[in-house]
Amino acid sequence: MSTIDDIAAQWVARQASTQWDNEAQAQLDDWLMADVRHQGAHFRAQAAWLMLDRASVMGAGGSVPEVPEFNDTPFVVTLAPHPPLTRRRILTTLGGGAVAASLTVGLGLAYALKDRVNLTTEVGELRKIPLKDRSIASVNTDSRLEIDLKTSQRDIRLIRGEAWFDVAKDKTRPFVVAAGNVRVRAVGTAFSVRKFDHGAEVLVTEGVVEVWNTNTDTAPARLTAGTRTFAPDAAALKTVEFRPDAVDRALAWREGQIALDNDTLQTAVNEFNRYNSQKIRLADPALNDARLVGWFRTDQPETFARAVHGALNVTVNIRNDEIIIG
Amino acid sequence: MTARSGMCTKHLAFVGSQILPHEAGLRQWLTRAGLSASERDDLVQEVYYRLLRQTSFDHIEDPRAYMYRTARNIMLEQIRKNRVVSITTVQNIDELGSIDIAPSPEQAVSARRELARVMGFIEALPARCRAVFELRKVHGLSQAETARRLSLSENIIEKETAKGLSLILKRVAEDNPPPADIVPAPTRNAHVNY
Repeated sequence: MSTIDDIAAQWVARQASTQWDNEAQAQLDDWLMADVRHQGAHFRAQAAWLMLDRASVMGAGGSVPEVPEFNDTPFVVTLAPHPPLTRRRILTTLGGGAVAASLTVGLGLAYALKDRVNLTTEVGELRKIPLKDRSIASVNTDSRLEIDLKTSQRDIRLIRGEAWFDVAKDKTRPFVVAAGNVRVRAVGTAFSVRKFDHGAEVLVTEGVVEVWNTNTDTAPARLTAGTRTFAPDAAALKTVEFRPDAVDRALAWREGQIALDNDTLQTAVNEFNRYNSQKIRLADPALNDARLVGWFRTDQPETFARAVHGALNVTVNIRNDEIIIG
Repeated sequence: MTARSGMCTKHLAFVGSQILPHEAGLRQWLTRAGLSASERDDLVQEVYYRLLRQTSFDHIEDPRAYMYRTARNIMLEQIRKNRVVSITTVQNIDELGSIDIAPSPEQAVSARRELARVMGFIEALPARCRAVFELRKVHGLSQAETARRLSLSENIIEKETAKGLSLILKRVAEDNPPPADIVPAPTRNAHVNY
């Protein structure tokens, strides 16, 4: 228990006193605004104070009510501006990959002035490109994009790989990403598309996008922030999941990172192999289903292999061309 | 600055009855995971801050699991921010995640049990503190009435209130709940469930 908790208790006691005025409220606001931990501690102390009202049934001598009756206490909770983490991450994007950082500066500016751009990334390469319409495209490893910013519509063709878009608002020019037969349309929003042979995965980080398939007559599905879906190439979209945490994790590549949350070793290995020519191979199939949690750099498969060695107590053989686990 | 007061009492009641009883268990786990005392305090405060930011608690089916998950997510974010991937932390976090699926022994905190808990907190206070809390919370007297009854100044009553609440918050943090069930990592679907 910290001093912050004690100070929070003092504030709650003061709020419950008869001498509570605007000046005191302003002082409390200042304290709360200073640190989110203050807000958390204050919220906790208020909850404990209110919880003690339970004891009032002992004074009344009645039976224990199922639902406690709480006074309408004039507690006011102040909210400090606290932008969601994703926003900060977007602003500091590229801190992770040295390759990415070095490439962005030169190429980004060059491309910003053109309406038609073709982009290709090598294995392990990550690029963040501002487009002429002031949208931003983060392009993941081993990907190819053809961008055509027409006056009626902004057309993006994802030939292969994965990209995340922070789309500049322009109602007159829809922003449409094509991946095979799958189409994803946004006005002002942020989302990613990853192309697979049999369809495309769509993750929405902000706003709303519409997803449809040119091969079917089904109406476009609307996806909101925090949702993900897999749109098959041959059929209409079936399921959409609301998984903000998973969406955030799946986009860790924008910072040159791989985020594992109870993923299997096999899944983790596949992820690393997307980014590196030094491939990881699992020699012992029994290890495939071991589960791991953690954040790793996409360009450091050796660090990952060492971590696996420590975590699972398995042999790891690191060579120049490949890493063998098990 | 935004102020929310409408939903607030309801939210505080929820946190008081559904979250606070599980805090001690969470802190015990954080100790076992190797967090220092100040790291535990920071993390717990951050957990309450996240709860404060919720506009609704309607979606929380298992408050204990929700609290543990929130703590786990914050730890993951911190690991990520610091770029430190200690595999011990990694494995322990995994265990924390698997608590999710264990049914909570205290899932239904009955009103009677909660009352016993609250009375236990008040009875454990030092004499003068206890008198203040009994008058204010058991008999529902105001601070001014409490001061008159005990022949003390309102200033002293406020100080005793703060002191008592601090002591109760410490009890909340240290309380001995039933041991948390830590089970092996669940065989959950991996990444995307198409």
